[in-house]
Amino acid sequence: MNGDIRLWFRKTGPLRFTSHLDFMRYFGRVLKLSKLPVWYTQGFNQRMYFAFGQPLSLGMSGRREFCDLTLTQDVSRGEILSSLRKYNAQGFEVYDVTVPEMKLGEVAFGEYEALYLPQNASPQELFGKIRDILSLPEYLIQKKTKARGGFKTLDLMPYLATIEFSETPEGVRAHMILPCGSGRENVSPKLIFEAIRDFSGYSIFQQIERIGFYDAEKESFR
Amino acid sequence: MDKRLEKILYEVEKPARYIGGEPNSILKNKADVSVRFAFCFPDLYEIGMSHLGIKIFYGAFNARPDYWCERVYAPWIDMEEKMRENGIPLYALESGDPLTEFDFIGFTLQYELSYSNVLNMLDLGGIPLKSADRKELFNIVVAGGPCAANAEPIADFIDLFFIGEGEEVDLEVMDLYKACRAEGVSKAEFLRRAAQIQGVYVPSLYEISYNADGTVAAVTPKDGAPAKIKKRIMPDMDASYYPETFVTPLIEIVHDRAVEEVFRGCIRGCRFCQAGFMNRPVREKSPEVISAQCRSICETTGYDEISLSSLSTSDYSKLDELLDLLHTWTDAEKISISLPSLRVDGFSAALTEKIKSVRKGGLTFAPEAGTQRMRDVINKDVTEPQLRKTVDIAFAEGWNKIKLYFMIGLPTETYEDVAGIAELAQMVADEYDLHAPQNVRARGNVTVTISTASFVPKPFTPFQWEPQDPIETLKDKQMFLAKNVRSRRVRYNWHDADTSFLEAVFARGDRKLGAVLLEAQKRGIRFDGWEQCFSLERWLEIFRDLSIDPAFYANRRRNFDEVLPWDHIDYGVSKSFLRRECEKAYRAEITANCREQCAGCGIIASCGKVKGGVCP
Ligand code: SF4
Repeated sequence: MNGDIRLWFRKTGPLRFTSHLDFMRYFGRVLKLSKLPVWYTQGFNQRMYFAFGQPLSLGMSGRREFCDLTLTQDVSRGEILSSLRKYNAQGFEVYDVTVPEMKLGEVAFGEYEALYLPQNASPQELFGKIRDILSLPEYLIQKKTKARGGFKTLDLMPYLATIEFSETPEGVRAHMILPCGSGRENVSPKLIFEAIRDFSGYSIFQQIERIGFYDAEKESFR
Repeated sequence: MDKRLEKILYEVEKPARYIGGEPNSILKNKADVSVRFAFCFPDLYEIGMSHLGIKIFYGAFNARPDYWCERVYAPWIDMEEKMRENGIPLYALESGDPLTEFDFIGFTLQYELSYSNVLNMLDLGGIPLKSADRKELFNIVVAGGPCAANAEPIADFIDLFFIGEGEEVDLEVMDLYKACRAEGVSKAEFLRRAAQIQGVYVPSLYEISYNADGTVAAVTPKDGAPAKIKKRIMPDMDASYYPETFVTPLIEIVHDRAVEEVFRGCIRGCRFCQAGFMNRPVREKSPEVISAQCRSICETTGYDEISLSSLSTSDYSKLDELLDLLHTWTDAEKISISLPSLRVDGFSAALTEKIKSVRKGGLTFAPEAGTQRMRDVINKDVTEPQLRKTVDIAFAEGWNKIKLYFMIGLPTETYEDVAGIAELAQMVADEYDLHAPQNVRARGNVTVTISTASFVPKPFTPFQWEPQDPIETLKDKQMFLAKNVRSRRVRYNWHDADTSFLEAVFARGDRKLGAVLLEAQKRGIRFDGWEQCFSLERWLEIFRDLSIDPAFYANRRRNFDEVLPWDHIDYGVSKSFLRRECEKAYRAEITANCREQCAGCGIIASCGKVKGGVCP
């Protein structure tokens, strides 16, 4: 493989408690130690060029994350993968490498799997509360805008309505596809979690994983 | 990961401190391991992860297939609170197992102000604090590091101390433990046997008796323990274990870079410096070994900076040769080389080309005292003309920020000496006007920053008998110095005298202080090295409540004949030599450095021949 490539990786386990910035630093070292012929940005401050799709928030695992970079020489797929395995933090694994079919900017949706574990209520009670929310005509929240200190009102209901909720022995599982990506309305799964927590009044512990990306046509991001 | 732990990680600052899993950290299968060692650093992750000693031991212990060494750091107060609330005991980062599951719980004692953290970490781990309350041959609590030189204040809590360099002796003790377990002997028997190993101090095998005035009358060994505990050293640093790689943190720590120890010991005999006496004799590594060790670390960590570490790296005898050798491969790898500190006389334009000595802008030197008389007293061979010459070079090279480190409260110090600090800084500022090149001056004015720490007399130095200035005197001297700084280009920062006082109490304390530490832990004292947590008032309350006078330890002049609480520990430097040095200090007489002339400190009689040294 040569030129633009897309690395696919998992970030799970303890590693999910590192911030995006720390993770980027770590990833830079992984690339450096792989000795892959990675293209460097030109100019005064030369650095290895690599770009992530979307940052993972602290605590969230990622099962199908990607990172784009450019190779300046031909390297086989197997060699790329094995060279990226030399220096690994627990919970990090590059499991595939492809030639990008879509542009990074075409990411439009993220897919998530969350498990809500109520601390002071039963899974049934929480599931009941979620049904109550879903029967409301709208669910308005105040969402921070990019401008400092700015807020705007957002109706979460259209998003809530698309989420598949299911009860499990431990809690409530939620499978959701929410808009993300640059230049679009971003709805983070945190907003959904907060809505459920605030509406139910329960103390809830959340485990959450991002499992994939889609483009605007809901085609799996490739 | 434990669910309870996972939950609290969302609620604390910097959760990555508490998760482990870093590249190059070592996981082993518990079933394949016969001895488990929890290496505890009694401070925050970011501090402990920057410490070289722990990296050496982590590598050396784990090199043994059936021993597993893991890391433990002190959780910050927010994490501690959540752990206690949720009943989560202090655990090691690799396995996540609590301290109670370890054969050894080992602390490195780098500074006295971390003693409160040592006790608090034991408590948080569910380990009984007092050695006497831990009856089984399991959960053996050990400690080493510079503060083991006078371990008496913390002796009630530690089963055994390592005296001197631990690379070999630690493993010998682990081997002994393994054998004792197999044999089924008691903890007491294990400790008795351990005491026979050179470099092991088992405090419970020594009885201390006191005179009516509170000084030590005698230290009496029992059960065949040696009367003197001799330190261990590594006689050949080239052959001594050095880690092939470092655990690389996932978050930013204080020093995140490759560190290479280039030599042990120091040829200088600065009279205030404990490390300079305790780590004798000088033993250098050869340039080839240093280069190979650096390369291995860089190749396995991705670090792009190497720090050449020692007590005084510009004294390395083959520095030029070493730098040239390193540059044969570091340039292509875009790796820079730095020295942690520079001697006033070790600075040259040629050197700055080969190292990245801090960023342009800030250069730090440590004249330590303001007048020549005072520098002679402490045997710091820095002269004003030298400093002048050095800053001229620095200015010519484009630096315009100079930081100068000093101590106040040194033995025989007068207010004239204190004023001398301001004058020396002023001289540097004036030098800028006189000699800095036009193009440098055009870029801005010079700033000279004076930084003072309060002198803390330490065991095994010529000043071990000296009183520390009372806090009021230290504060008065700080104010006096501040008043003497008259130029806006000279700034003055000082370290709090309160912490130096507590440090002085514990540095030369005896076993009676164990009660104070125990009470401090009960009252929730920890992180004394952190301004947000430290309160001298709370400590003074404890001293009052227990009727112990801290000034007895910090501010009292000892008689040369007094039995010192650490007299049974032997670092190879003779007491008569320290006394001679002290008397020379009173006369403001200097002692030549070890490369120029041997001063007969006694180390060679004690340690024998070493490689890469200067001793005759
Ligand atoms: S024996 Fe002499 S040269 Fe060696 S450390 Fe002691 S004083 Fe220095």
